[in-house]
Amino acid sequence: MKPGDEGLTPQAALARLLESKREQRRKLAALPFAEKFRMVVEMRRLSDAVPRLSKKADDR
Amino acid sequence: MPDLEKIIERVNELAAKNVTGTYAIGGAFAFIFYAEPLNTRDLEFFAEMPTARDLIRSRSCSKMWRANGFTFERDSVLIEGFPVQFLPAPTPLVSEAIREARTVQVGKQSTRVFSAEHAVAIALQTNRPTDRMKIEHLLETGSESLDEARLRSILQRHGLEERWERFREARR
Repeated sequence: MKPGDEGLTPQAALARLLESKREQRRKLAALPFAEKFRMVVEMRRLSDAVPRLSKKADDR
Repeated sequence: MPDLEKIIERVNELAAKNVTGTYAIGGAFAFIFYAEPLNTRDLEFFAEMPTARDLIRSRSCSKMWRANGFTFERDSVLIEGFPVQFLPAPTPLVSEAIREARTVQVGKQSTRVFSAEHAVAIALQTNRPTDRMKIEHLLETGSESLDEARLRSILQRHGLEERWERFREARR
């Protein structure tokens, strides 16, 4: 919790949370292309792993 | 792990041998260049040659790809272990996007990527839910703002202004 957060209304807390999320996404967008490519490769690897895990569960 | 610089190096070698002709990165990776990474299956290179797809799929060419150490995964050629598609320009808008693509540096390799405005216009032209989602993604997380005047001019040239207005209306 940051100083000054104590008196936040739920709406203000949500707005702050969303803004922090947006800031995080903008930082990711500003990464070098090669770095973003590596992240896509990782995402792809993870999404490929999900059906395989489900198949294993089905096979059991 | 597949490395973008190495993939581009291989593609530039193919372009130098006139296998692909002038090309530019389009599809999801054009959006990824300007925005937050999103999950996608392959890297799409649009090439200004009417027979690119036939060329890649033809038996003789397939032999050439294999002779050069490439393998295939579905419709894509695997380059450095990553699926890559070479696609011909299907519309005048995509031809224009290839001609006016932005030159970017990836390590020591130079490559070309569709401008953000062309990427948006092409997604609007294709207009599947996934394309509209990519535009939304760019508007939300883009690292630079769209050049509105340039976008307007592209949309006007290719008859997409009304579709853009509908898209904007739906966002409100």
